[in-house]
Amino acid sequence: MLQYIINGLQSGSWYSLLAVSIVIVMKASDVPNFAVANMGLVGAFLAYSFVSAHLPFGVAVVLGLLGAALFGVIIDRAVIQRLGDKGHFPLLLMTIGISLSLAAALELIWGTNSLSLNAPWSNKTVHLAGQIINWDGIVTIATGLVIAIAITWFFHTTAGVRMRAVAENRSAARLVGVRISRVSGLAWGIGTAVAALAMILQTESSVLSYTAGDALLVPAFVAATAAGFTSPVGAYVAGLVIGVLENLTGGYISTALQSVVALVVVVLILLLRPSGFTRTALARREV
Amino acid sequence: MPPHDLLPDGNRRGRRWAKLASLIVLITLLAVVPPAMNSYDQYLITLTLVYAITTLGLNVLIGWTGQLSLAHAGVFGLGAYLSTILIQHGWGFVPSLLVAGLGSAIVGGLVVFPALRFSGFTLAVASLAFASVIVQLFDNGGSVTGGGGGLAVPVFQFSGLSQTMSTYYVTLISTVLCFVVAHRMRHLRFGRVAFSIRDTEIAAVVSGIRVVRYKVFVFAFAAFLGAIGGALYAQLETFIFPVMFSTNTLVLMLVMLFLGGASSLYGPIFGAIFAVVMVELLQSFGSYQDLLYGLLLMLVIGVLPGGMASLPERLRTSHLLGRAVRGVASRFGRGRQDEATAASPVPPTATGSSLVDDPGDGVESGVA
Amino acid sequence: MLLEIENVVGGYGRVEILHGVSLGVEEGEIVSILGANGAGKTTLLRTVSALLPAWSGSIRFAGKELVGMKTESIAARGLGHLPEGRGIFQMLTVQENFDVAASLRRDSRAEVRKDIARLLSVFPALTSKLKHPAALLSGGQQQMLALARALLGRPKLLMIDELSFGLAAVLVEELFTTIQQLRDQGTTFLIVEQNAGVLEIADRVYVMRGGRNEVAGAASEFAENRDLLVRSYLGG
Repeated sequence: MLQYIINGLQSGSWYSLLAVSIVIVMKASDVPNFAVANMGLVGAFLAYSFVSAHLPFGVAVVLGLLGAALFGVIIDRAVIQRLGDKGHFPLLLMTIGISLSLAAALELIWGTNSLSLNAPWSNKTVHLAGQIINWDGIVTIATGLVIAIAITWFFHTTAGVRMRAVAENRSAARLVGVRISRVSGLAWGIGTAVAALAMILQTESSVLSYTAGDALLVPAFVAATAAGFTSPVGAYVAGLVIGVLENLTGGYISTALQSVVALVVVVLILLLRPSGFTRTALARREV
Repeated sequence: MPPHDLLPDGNRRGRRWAKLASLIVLITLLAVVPPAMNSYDQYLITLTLVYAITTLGLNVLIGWTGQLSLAHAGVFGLGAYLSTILIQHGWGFVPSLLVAGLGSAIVGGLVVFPALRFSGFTLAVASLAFASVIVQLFDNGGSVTGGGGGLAVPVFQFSGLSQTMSTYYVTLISTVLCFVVAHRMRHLRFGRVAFSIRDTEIAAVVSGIRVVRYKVFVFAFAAFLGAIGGALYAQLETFIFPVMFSTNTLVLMLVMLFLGGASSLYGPIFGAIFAVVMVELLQSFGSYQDLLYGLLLMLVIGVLPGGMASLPERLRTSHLLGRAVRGVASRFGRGRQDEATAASPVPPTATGSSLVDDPGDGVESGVA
Repeated sequence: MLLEIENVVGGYGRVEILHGVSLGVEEGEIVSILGANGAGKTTLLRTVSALLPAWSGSIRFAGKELVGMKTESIAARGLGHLPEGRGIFQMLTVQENFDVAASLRRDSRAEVRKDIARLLSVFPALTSKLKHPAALLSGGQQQMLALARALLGRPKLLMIDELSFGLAAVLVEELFTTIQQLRDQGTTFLIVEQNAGVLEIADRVYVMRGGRNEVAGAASEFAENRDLLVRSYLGG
């Protein structure tokens, strides 16, 4: 039981981080970023290459995250902002296009074979309350928690408040001088770095391949949807819940049903609360 | 409004006859010429028709009604698997084709009930999740679906014809039927209602249209077309496995839809022709193909002036040239316009704005 | 002329709403644009702020051409715009609404804080609400916040879209008085209204109808023929 829960929290943390990334990007660009996982993979592959170049793991990860952030900013400038005047629908489809192109590009650059990105703690275990627990699980869960807190704090800084203002009313934000392009670049930068962290953690505990993002995308989106696309805390918690539910289902019922859990969760959420669970009383008041 | 409504009566009738005549010639050619071709070209033509039917389904959803549902690749797979499994259990080909279509239509129609509660992004996410569940069912279906290894498809064959030609004729007939039905629907009340749901859902509700009923029907009809496409695709490929119905397939469908011209009736055919020709030309590039699909989708979306929001206008002239001219025209004056412009309520462009529950206040929706 | 609009044509998408509007605002004036619903008043303001593209014509502010600039750069040049519907960030607290508006300020935080304190003394009702989400404010308080927030950017000219909308008559009077005081302190105003009450504070008036400016004149002239104005142009 404990083992299932810890495993669930671990995979839940991957979903959570991706969901938080989705929420950040949603705030600034008002688009569900379907490329989130594959954009994060860019960071993971970069980190892998830096490790292969004999850089220390920590340095490689930091460089990978920076590379991912830069990549996010470039995508925002080169693609997303150019489309900014064309409505939400094309933007959404654009992220799908980015996602597919990116997977193909990653495959072409790093090959089809599964690679292994090894952290110093990979395959190391610790005994806790009579259970054997992997270090990567502990690191992943701790990282997820730290990032969730950091992002929540960020949304109360000046830059974060501006981002929330843009999310709520773009035109009004521009009228009071908020430079949309900066806010957008910042969001894509931070968002992609957070996604990269998720993918580094995930591929470190399994294998690194250009398809690694596929399995994470749906649960991450379900978590973001549950948070009404607005609350990083909500997205984080929802991600953990889905992860734990999946693992308990897999452990006690059937592994085949495991991934159906996500759908059941999303349907339940949407039937009960079409706008997500974490919309505040405030937001509902407006409706 | 579709352009034909704007034409004077006599002119309209003349054009209709010309159209009908050229269609009959085209269909006759399609019936007579392929037997003389080699079997690979026969395969390509069949594939084009299969894609056209499938994309037509997506078009009814996205182009006509403005419902951003991303489950179409999954539904396509559902048609393929359902028909194949039925045939394996001794059903005849035609009944299994129809049952696969109707079964998927029921699934599509049922799925719409939770989907009615939300629109836009949430619908996109939920439908994508739904599609991924379908594909996982194929993967985990044990001996019924063959798991990751897939299923061999018992292929239907007319006596005296090759497998490919049999599939081709069945596909040709299906294509003609599907497009005729779609054409009728477009020009009946259904079409007008669909477009009005897309343009301003709220206005549609206000004017007393039972949006729910229409949406259920649209989802069901789209699923039917997608599943028929899938069932024929299974016949054509003779072997199906889960990966064939993944997101990559969805992207290809979207490329065909937008390239051909979303919301126009024959757009899917042009899109399908383009996709098949492209795949053929790029075959030697192997793994560059996916990269190209993705880049192409990005390009198509990037080039459409006004994106989906300009659809009502694009109805008037839906060929590429007119689009490019308008692209230049819309950039006249200030190069870029604010996103609020695209979502402004004055011209009927609400596809963009109805995609999200508008969180803002009057600023986003003001006209003096 | 502080703001000079010349022959501006524009609209939404491909629908032309402004068919060539020309008007000017001198420094230190309160100018009002009156017109019925659909006259193109809001469209005009949105075009000046580049929320909508000007298809042709010219808009000059303090001698600089605005057509082709971005909304945020126009705001940074000192042309404020309090939009229709107020543009309050409902999910943000009152304080955070101010913080966002301080994006325009290039001077020190201390200066900004001083300005906020000064604005709060003009609108004391907001003082106790600083930590509250703006959604919890009453309509009148929201309008005050919108006005205070717009003033925090220290605009040379502030365009206001329907200051009176949805507010009680007493409150409108109060806000009009405040605007007069602010003008005396050096801010220029361009106020779009359907409510002819604005004639009491305006220096000059333009009347718009069907996307054109039809008549213009001193506010006092219009005030004398108020009934005629209302009947022929404001549709009520």
